[in-house]
Amino acid sequence: MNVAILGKSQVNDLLEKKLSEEGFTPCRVECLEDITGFSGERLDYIVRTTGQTVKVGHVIVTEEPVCEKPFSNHYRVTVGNEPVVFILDYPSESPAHYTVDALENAIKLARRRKQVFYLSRFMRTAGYQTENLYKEARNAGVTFIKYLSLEIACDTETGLYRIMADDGYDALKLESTAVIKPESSTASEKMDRIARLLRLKCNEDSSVNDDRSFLFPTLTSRNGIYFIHSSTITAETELQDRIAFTISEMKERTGHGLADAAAGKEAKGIEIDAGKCAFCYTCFRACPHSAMAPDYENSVMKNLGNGCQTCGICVSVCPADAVKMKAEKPVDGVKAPNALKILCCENSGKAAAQMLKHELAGLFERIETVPVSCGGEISVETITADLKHYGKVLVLTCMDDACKHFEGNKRAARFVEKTKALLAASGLDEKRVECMKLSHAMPMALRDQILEMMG
Amino acid sequence: MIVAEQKPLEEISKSLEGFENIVIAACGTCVTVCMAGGEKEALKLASVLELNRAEQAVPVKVKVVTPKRQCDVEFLDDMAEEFGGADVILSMGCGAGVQFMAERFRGKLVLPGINTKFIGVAREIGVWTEMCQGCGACILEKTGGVCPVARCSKSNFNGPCGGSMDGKCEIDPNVDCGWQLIYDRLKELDRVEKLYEIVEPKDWRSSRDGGPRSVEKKEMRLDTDI
Ligand code: SF4
Ligand code: SF4
Repeated sequence: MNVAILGKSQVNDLLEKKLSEEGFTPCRVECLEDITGFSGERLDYIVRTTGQTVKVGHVIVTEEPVCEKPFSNHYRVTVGNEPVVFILDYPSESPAHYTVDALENAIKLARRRKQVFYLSRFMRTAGYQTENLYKEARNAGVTFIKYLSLEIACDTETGLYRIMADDGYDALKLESTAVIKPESSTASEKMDRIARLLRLKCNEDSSVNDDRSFLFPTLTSRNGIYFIHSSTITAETELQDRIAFTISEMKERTGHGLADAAAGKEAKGIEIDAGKCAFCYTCFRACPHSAMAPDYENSVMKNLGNGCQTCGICVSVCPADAVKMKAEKPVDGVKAPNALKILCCENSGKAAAQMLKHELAGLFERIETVPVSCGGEISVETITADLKHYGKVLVLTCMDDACKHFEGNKRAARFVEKTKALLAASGLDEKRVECMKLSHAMPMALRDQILEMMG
Repeated sequence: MIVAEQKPLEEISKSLEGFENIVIAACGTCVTVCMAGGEKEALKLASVLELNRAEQAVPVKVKVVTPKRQCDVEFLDDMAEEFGGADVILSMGCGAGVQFMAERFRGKLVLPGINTKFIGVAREIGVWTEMCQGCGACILEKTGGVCPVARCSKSNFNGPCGGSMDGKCEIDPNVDCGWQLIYDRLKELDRVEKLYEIVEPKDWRSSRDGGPRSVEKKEMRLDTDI
C-alpha cells in the first residue's frame, strides 16, 4: 500500500526506510507547494500534485508546523531586574508548540535567576512534553498564574507594560518591559495551506490542533493522516517510537467498520436517512474528523466509513434528525421516576462509574449507566426524551483537552445547559440534568455528584 | 433561505394550554436548515411539553410529523391522516407554512411555533444573517453585490448616512455598515465609479408597500393568455 510522505524533514529518510521494511510503498512529496488537491478517505486518499496523481492509503506529514520558534527571539533581550512575563492569552488552552516553546524559554530564564511569571487562562496538560516541562519550570522557580481576566496597558514611549491579572480571588499587578506574547510568531503559511487542503482540525490561529498529542502523539483529527515532527522530538529513540506507533496505527487502526468486521461484530457506524437529510452541511461542518462528504448526485450527505470515528457529533447536531448511530444501545430497564440515567463517555465516565458499582451497589439498583462513544452524541432532544422515563440524567464526558474527538465534551456541556434552560422555562427543576467533566480516574468526584443527585 | 427562530417555550406552552391532542408539524426545508423548526426541534419540543404536562398531571398526547415542505399542498395532503385526531396543530413552518396549513386544514386550529425573521445565509454553525428583503426590484448590479435595502439600516441608496463609523453602523457596533461593505466591494472590483451614478428614488410598489404580491409564470399556465 502506498503511503504519502508530505514535507521536507530530516525524519524522511528513516521513515521511508521503516515503511519499506514494513511492506508499505512510500511516496515522497517534499515540496508542499506542489500539492494541488487532496480527496478521498483513509485507505483511499488521492493526492494531486503539479506533476502526478497518486493513490495512497495513508498520509504522513513531516513538515514542521512553525517556521519560526515564537519565543526564542525574545528571551535574550530582557534587561535588569524586572520580571519577565510570558502571556499566553487564549480562550482555551494555548497551541502546543507555543506552550512548549514558552515553557522552554521560561525555564532558561528562570535558571539564570530571573523572576519569571507565566500567565495563562488555561493550563495545558495534554500536550506532548508539557507535563515534564511544567514540572521543570516549577522547580526552576517560574511562577504560574492562571487568570480569569487580564488587562494590559502599554506605554508606547517607554515600552513599559502594566498588567493586571485577576483570578477571581485576587488581582496581581505587574510592571515590566519584558513581556513576551506569541503574537510575533509566524505559523508556516505552507502548513496552513496543507492543513486546509487535508481538512485537518485547526486552532484559531490556524495551526493544526494537536490536543490529542499527549495520548496519541502522531494522530491528527483525520483517520489515516499522521504528523511526525522532528522539532518536538528530543531523542532518537523517541523518533523511533513515534514511527513505530504510526506504523502500528496504520496496520491496526482501521475504520470502525473494518475493525468490527474483523472482530466478527456488527459494525458500529453512522447511518444517514436520505429521505430526511436537508443537505444543510451542519454535520459536514461539525464533524471533527472530516468524515462527512457531499453526495451531489443524490443531494444528500454521506458518511465516509473509513474516516468516521463514531463520535456521534453529527447525530446530535443534525437538525433533520437524519443521522443515527447504527449500533443499538442495550437498555437494562431500571426506568423509573426515582432512577438516574448516566450517559457516560466510554473514554472516561464509563470506567469511573464502573469503579463505583460495588461501593454504591444499593444506589446502582436505581442507576442505569449507558456508555456512549463520546459526549458529542448527546443532544437536548435525547436528554429530554430520557427525562420522560428517568427522574434525573447525568452526562459524563472527558475533561477539556482530553476529549478524543476534540469538542464532543464541550458540545455535550452546551446541550445540557440548553436543556436546563428549557426545563426552567417550563417550570421544571433544572437540577434534573447535570453534566460533569472527569477522567476515568475520578470515581470519588463522581460519587459525590451521584450522591448529590440521588439525595 | 428563510431564517426563523423558535418562539420562547413559555409562549408556546401558553398557546397550547387546554389542548390534549397536539400535533407538531415540523418543516423539512428552510427552517430545518436554520435549526428553528426541523424534526429535531419538534421532537425536543414534544418531549419538553410532555414533561411539563406530566409534572402538572395534565394529560397530553404529542405527535410529530415532518412534511418535506409546508408550502406545497401535496406534502400536506400526504400527511392529512396524521392530523385527524388533533385538537390543535403547532406549525413549525415559516409564516407561509402556518397559513398554508391553516388553509388546507380548515377545521383545525393551526398555531405558529416559530418567528419568521428574514431571507439570509448561514455564516457558520448557528449564525445566520439577513441578506435580502424581497423588495421586488433588485439593484445589486449597482452596489457590488451588497444589498443597500437589507444591509443598510436605513435602506439608503446613494451612500452612507453620517452615522457610519469605522465600518460599523450607528444602530449597533456589531452591525457592519452596509455602505462600507458596498464601497469596499466596489473598490475590490475596481468599479468605484459605479457610485457616481445617482440612483433614482425607488418605486416601492414592487415591494410590500404595493400590497400583497403574487407571481405568475404565464407559460406554465394553460388557462390564461400570455
Ligand atoms: S446535518 Fe443532517 S440534514 Fe444536514 S446535511 Fe448532515 S445529515 Fe443532512
Ligand atoms: S460520528 Fe463523528 S466522526 Fe463520524 S461522521 Fe459523525 S461526527 Fe464525523
